[in-house]
Amino acid sequence: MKLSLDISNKGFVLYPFLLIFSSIILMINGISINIFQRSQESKYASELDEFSLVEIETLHRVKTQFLTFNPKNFEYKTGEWVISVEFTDETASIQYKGDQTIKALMVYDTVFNNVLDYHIIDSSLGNSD
Amino acid sequence: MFNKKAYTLIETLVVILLLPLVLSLTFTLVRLLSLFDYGLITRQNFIGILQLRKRVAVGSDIVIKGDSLQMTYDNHSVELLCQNDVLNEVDGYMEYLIEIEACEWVIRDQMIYISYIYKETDYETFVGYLK
Repeated sequence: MKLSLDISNKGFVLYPFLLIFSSIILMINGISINIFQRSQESKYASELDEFSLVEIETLHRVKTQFLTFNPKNFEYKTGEWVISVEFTDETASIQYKGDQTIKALMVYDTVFNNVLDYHIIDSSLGNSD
Repeated sequence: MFNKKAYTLIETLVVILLLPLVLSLTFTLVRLLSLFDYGLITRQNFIGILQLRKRVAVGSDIVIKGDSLQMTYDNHSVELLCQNDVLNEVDGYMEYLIEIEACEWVIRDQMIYISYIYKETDYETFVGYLK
């Protein structure tokens, strides 16, 4: 009995192979870009989360100062952020200094003891001083 | 080169070795991609948590009764309600968390947390101070 093992590669055609191979390479490239984009997004989300915690801690401290009826300017550091607060009558000017400087304003009603307004000053966003 | 009828054994072996390598790389990358796949609702809920924290931070006289959180802001009463599958603001259009289950306010050491289940995973997130 003759044992025949055909290991010839006559069926191999270059162009379809190149087409499939280059498609796979392109797909890998696309997926890699997607992963990079999402990891960047994840990093940005954790920065936002950190700033959110810094922000509520600061608002808590500012409200506590207003409740003393004699608010005093203060500055504190947490993580990468240095926060300074200045009081003018019933308004608190807040400055968050980290990778960038963000300014915010809080207006407090000392009669009814509640916040009237709090907003980040848009023009302060994007500064990198 | 193109006159060749077939490729050598070495060339074929290289292709046979290379293909699984490329395919395994693709598979690994697809798995990595799924790790970072947050989905639209998760993103919306993340933004919702950030806004919820800010909302609670500017509120005064916070009172929690069952699934309701009441507070004062700008001399108005604001109520945040944990409903069946959503955390929203009563008399407002804001939906902070959507497609969640078992939403509950938790108070611990004068701090407010929100506990909920999203995609069969339990979450307990810090949202602010009670006083």
